[in-house]
Amino acid sequence: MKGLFGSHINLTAKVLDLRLERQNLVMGNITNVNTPDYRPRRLEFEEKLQQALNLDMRGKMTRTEKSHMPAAFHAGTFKGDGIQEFRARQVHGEDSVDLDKEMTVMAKNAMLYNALTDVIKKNFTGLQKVIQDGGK
Amino acid sequence: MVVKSIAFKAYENAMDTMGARSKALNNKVSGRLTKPQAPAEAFSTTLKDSVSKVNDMQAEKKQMIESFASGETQNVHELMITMQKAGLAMSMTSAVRNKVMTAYQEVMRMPF
Repeated sequence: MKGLFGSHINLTAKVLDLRLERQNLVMGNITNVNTPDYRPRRLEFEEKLQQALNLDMRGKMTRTEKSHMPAAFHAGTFKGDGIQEFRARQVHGEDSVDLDKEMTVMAKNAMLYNALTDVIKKNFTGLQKVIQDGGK
Repeated sequence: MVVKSIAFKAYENAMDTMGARSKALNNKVSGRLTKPQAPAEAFSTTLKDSVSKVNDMQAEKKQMIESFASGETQNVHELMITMQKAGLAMSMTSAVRNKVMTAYQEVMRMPF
């Protein structure tokens, strides 16, 4: 249903998925705070997502004409970096988990997650309102 | 040659004054009844403009959501304000639409 749900709803849903994944990762890091040789994992998707959505500098530079083909964003195939590239280093102490950093990442992630749930909720209630009013 | 009688002259004079008076009265009435100036822009133009404005607001909202979700901008308040604005504009549009539909139906029910 491309007509009813705009691309921003799909995007919001996908980013909520990614934020949940990041939350799980951070929880894993905090759990392993005392594990020797454990390197904290990170999930980075923002930069790649901005590239996919033509929001970053490079994307804006490449699309100089309105008739140029935009880089289409597919919610189904998009993936964040980081989980696959994770490889533990054998230097103990240098990359151990920093609890403060993890807490900060988690708090920020939770805030953005809440804001995005608000966004998607408002989108859906707005759609419902339009449909109800239009049906009158 | 017909000589006008005094009575006829008096009648003519009376008619003239009457005519002048009625003309003045007509002028006065037409001055009061001048139609209001036509509006500078048509109602349909206003309607089209406001609908396109609502559309622009929705597009802006979509843009804001995308840049917020991708982490480009991180100010929540601006996003929320934009969303509320777009939502309110949409509610206003649907309310006006409902009123217009009601008026149309009322006109349709009018007996000719």
